[in-house]
Amino acid sequence: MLYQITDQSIHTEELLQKIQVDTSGAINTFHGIVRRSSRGRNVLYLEYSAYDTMALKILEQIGQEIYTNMEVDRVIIVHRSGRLHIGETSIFIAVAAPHRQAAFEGCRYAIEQVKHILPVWKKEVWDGGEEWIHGV
Amino acid sequence: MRSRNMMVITAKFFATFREVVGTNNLEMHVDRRAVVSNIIDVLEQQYPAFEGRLRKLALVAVNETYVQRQQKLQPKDVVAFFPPVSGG
Repeated sequence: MLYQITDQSIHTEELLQKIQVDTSGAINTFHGIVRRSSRGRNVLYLEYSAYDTMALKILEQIGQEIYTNMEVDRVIIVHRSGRLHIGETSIFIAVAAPHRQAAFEGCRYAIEQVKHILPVWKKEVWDGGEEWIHGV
Repeated sequence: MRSRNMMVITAKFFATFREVVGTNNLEMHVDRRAVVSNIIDVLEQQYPAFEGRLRKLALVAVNETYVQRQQKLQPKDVVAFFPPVSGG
């Protein structure tokens, strides 16, 4: 299990090596990527702000729920903070499991929970303006 | 001298709520019987720029755990207020 809120680039290849165990027949990954166009704006970069200490607890909680409720071997969730440019990875999730169904479901569950309860906010910065984006 | 019926808590703010208050952390003297919604009322009054958003939108965490509006507070609690999250 590995959970992190980090202001450093996420090295997904290194993380993938950590998750591989010989009981796992499937690894499912999710990469959140900063995209250029949002609501018709030409985004320059995103600024992610996190309630770091609470966010780490929430990541651990999400991972624990997956581990308790699904047949998985390992869970990795790493979320960025700070300034991210177009094409950078904002979140990386990997779930290793004996079989594909749990790997898919665990990964899906993790990103949906992140979207609802992880205390992290992004600010879009574009030419001539910026705005905090709120979830719903 | 503060009244014995008062206690000190720390309020924390994030994203747009931080911009309304102008600081990350605010020390508040509140009634010892206060619940979360009482703090929200005080803040809405003190910072009109919230325009009801604390009441309507805020997620609230006490000591880094999500709570409901009727949660009773204890001295030295850290009460965080934030808009709906937008991570991922």
